[in-house]
Amino acid sequence: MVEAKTVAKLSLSILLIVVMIIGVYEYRSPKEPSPEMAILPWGPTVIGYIFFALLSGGIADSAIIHTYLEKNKASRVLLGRSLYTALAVLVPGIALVFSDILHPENAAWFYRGFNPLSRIAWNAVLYLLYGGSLLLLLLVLARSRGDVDKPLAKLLALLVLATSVTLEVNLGMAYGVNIAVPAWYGLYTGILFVVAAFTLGSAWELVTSRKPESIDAEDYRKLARSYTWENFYSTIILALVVFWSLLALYSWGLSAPLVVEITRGSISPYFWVSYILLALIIPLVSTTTYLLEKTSRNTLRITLALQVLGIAILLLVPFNFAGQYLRIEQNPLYRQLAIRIEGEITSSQLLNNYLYSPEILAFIGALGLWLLIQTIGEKQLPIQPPRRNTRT
Amino acid sequence: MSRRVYMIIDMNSCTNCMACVVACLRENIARQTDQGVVLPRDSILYARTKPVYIDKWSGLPPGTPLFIQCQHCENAPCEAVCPTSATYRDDKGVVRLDTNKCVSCRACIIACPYGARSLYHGRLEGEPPNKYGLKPGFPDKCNFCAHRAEKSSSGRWVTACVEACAFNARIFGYEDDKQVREIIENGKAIKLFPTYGTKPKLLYIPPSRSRGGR
Repeated sequence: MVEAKTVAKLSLSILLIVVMIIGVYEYRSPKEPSPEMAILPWGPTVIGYIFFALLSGGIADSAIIHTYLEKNKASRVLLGRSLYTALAVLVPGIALVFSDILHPENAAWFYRGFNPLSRIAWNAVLYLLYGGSLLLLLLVLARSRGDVDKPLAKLLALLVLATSVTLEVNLGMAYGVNIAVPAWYGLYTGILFVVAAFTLGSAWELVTSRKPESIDAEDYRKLARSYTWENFYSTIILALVVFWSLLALYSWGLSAPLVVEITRGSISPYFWVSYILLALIIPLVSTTTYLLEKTSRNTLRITLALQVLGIAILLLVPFNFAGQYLRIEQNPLYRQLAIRIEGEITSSQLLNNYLYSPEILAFIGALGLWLLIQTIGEKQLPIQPPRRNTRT
Repeated sequence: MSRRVYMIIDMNSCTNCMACVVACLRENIARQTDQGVVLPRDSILYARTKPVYIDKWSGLPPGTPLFIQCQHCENAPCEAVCPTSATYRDDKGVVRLDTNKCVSCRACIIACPYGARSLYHGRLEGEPPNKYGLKPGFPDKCNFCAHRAEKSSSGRWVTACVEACAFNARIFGYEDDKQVREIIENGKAIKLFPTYGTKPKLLYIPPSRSRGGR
């Protein structure tokens, strides 16, 4: 019989998928045509698929590093499950890619008309390589009953690691190559995305994973501590990258107003509350206290769930929105265009349009796809470690 | 490299009569249906040449009228970022969009420093006015009336905006045409945002004095 918990998960996932479908439909078939895409072309859906790709890459990277480099006992047993989770969060990301592009019927041209200068063209290749190698590695592990030491498994793990990190950098550089958007222009976007991926991956594993019966409690505790250390370090590195990039942008005159807007303007609550408080201070305190064995795993779970939310908001507002808004402020042609479209423009008005859009529903609802695939996988597929024989 | 086409807008001759904008709308945007001519709401935002007035820009007098439109850059950032090669330069250097390849990822809109791309996100009745006319959901842009170029056997054509200008404020031709060459060589015409290194082929002759904005 199906457990009540599973039924609840499946019901929630279906509800979220309905929300996603409504969001995608409303986004793709607007009642009132808006010319706003000329000034704010990349909406929340773009960050949606980036978020899921970073999350997936982060989960896979962490699991592979803990398994093969750290040789963590529990991680070796749980590798299949972690990789399945990485695949399950990649699916909503890919669904959002196809929701975002307005002419998916031409998607074959990503490959047929491949433009080697375009970062997005490389993303299309890297999504395929990363997703494909992840799937192959899962199949190899399933066929060998989770034998992580098979040479083919090791080779594929290396490929997954290489392609996911390259995808993370490349997703960032799809922003960083744009000289016309001063706030994004530069290498920092690629670095930011890699560090964000590691932070998200370790946080997600600590939030969502539970100890399977078959694993020794001490081994599992060691793995949880490894993930906690990873999250602690990556949170600190993320903070350094964020502050370094803000300093670099401030010292580069063109982007200085962005830093002022983010730290003191109408966007500042999203930076101070979402990033500084939820994604930086609270996780650092909770991981430290957990490592000192002063807080419980449940407290850690709650605070790291907030961190995931905080990073999503950091990417959505101070990064994606603010970069495009600064261009409107600074580029006289975009400013005039925006005035023609919106009348008198303010950041809060544009931010309202950006946040209260169906795209946000699509982003939130996409979590339903992950939950559905994860729940089905955990029940139906051989991704869980085998139960220990309790008979004596 | 084959001969490149250039457009030069002389802001001293331009009277802001908007005939070029209307001509562009009629040529590339307006659709004929059984119920009459259909234009997108706020149609001026979808004209491939959009008039604006610049208050502050170094080197230009306040209130300078300019037109937001594709600058047909030789180093086009939109072409570089296009993942499907849907944005390309043809043999005359005209930056074009192939809607059969475009997925509408909007990377070109992000990459363009000139705000030259507009996207109609909605439905439109009827058929586009020409085979390269505005189609919903694509990052639309000026293509120097490519459909007219295709019909020309001599390789010479005029764009709708040039044809409509009663004051000869718009000059259009090949780089080695006498009038175009002289303007390029005498240095009176400026390129917008030269520091980006985009090498635009749309040049402006700035007004010699301020006119004040509208």
